[in-house]
Amino acid sequence: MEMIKLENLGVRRGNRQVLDAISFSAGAGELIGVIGPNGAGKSTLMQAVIGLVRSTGTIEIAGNASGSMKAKDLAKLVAYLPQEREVAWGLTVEKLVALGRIPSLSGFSQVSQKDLEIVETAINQMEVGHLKNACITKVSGGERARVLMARALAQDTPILIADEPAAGLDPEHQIHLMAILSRIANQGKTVLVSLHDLNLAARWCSRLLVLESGKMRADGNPDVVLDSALVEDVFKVRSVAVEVEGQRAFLPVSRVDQGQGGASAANSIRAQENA
Amino acid sequence: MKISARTFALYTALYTALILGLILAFFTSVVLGPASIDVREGLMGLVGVGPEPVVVVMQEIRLPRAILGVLIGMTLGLSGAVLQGYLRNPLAEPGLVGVSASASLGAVIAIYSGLATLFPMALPLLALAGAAVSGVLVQMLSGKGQALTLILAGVAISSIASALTSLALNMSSNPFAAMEIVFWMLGSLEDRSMEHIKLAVPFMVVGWLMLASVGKDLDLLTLGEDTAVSMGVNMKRLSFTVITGVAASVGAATAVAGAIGFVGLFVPHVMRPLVGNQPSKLLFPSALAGGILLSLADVGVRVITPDSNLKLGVVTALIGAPFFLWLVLSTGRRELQWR
Repeated sequence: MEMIKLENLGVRRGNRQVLDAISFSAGAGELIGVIGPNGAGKSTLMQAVIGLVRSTGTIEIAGNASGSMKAKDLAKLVAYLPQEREVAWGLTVEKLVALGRIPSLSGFSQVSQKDLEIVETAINQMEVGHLKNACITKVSGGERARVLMARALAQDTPILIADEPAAGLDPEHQIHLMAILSRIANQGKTVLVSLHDLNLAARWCSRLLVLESGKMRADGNPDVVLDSALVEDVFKVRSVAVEVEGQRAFLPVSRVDQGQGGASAANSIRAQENA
Repeated sequence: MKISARTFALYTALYTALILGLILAFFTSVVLGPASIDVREGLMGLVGVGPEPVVVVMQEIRLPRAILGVLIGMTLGLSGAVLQGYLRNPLAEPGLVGVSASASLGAVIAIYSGLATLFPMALPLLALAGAAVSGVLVQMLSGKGQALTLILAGVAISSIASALTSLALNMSSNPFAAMEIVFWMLGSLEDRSMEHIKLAVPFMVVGWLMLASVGKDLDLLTLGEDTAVSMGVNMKRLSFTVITGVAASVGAATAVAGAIGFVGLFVPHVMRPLVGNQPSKLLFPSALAGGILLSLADVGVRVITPDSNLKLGVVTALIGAPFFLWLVLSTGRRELQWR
């Protein structure tokens, strides 16, 4: 079943066409990375999918036209983690993660034992158990990012949309985060995640959407989609692709507009790799 | 969320202390006054037993005043807690959405036009009308219910209402009317009757019910508007509920007692750490604590100046203003630490 289906999606902000004619569909079990330079429309795409910005075209979530769904019903299907890590009040980490269960509660009902187990699992998955009783405003930026991801996981929806969840995490926790996302995708969920780190995207995502100036530049398997030519064209950086432990990794070397110096550096690294 | 046994015990202790405190504050307010009536005689008078003057003082002067102190304090505490949660700002208070200033303008029009002299209930009725108009205008101006637009709309409405109130004072040819306006604007529970209570209570109860229903939405707003919307919060409906709830309850409070500041700012801030900073858990304790604070402030008014020169709004401002200053300074320090 198609969990997310976009047809000809467009978003305008003032005179600027932020997204233009975006179409794709995502099924259960896919971990889809959305990549593209700053301003390409990654965050807007995610916001449009859950109806936070006005858009044209059609959006279907689990077979339902998103505009016809009640916000509460949509919240039971999609968990969204925005790029901004705003927390207004100093709740404890445990209470904050438990907020993720509110969309599944009806009326004045309180969380059940099962809800608490889901919260506990989310906290353990993101390895923030030691912070359970800490005040969210007193933890570090990376820890806050992990707690907020635990909140999204606690929503326990079939679709997870996360906007740059790896930003600000140390390398160990970036890998840990991607492993968690990969695991929940393998469990049958649909995960849409925007990333700036091309190596994380190439290594962990089952599919990549490449956005450039609001348009879909490429859509497919990372091995097919991502190469040095695309990186140079879309991200305006010369890079070399190296293979480390059987995984492809991209090493950005210079900006395209910096002339031949960068190109020669890239060529020299390529030559060393080939030697 | 489900709470641990320890948290349950803490909440039970807090609620018990607040409810007992409110009952105590209410009885203190009933038994204390310029007329020297001893406690037993006063309580008998309250149920209509004893000398006629005592019964009149207790039933027609002290009882309405004590009841209004509790009701208005609860209104200000609850609406302050809701607005701070809704706007995600500890500096928010009921006056911010323009309701108090507009209700005051309605009352001032009643005094200025002489309607209040001809028909005493014209004053609270026009004040309620002022609150209703401001509620509708803020609702219209705030659009999709985003916090910043709501604040701007509230400030705009407040400014217009204050300007028109100043105009009425400026143009008032009758110095007694001008003085009455000024005294009314200072806020007081003096000489209020059961009629005032009957007028205010229905609006207050409707407002309270609306405000008490938004707890879960306020909890979700802790994570920002985008996340809250993605988790099922309908910002437009929430904004309607909050503004209408504040307009009805604070409008009714202002209509019968004038503008009483700082309670709505002070009380939620004091209660917040006691409930683990969770907006939904803050509502009930803030209402109770608001009732206690205003009742005690009114007792203070009567004890300090039995000849009733001191107005209640002045006392709450005298308590609240230094607190506000401390709040600004401590918030500033926290901001610096975060950087």
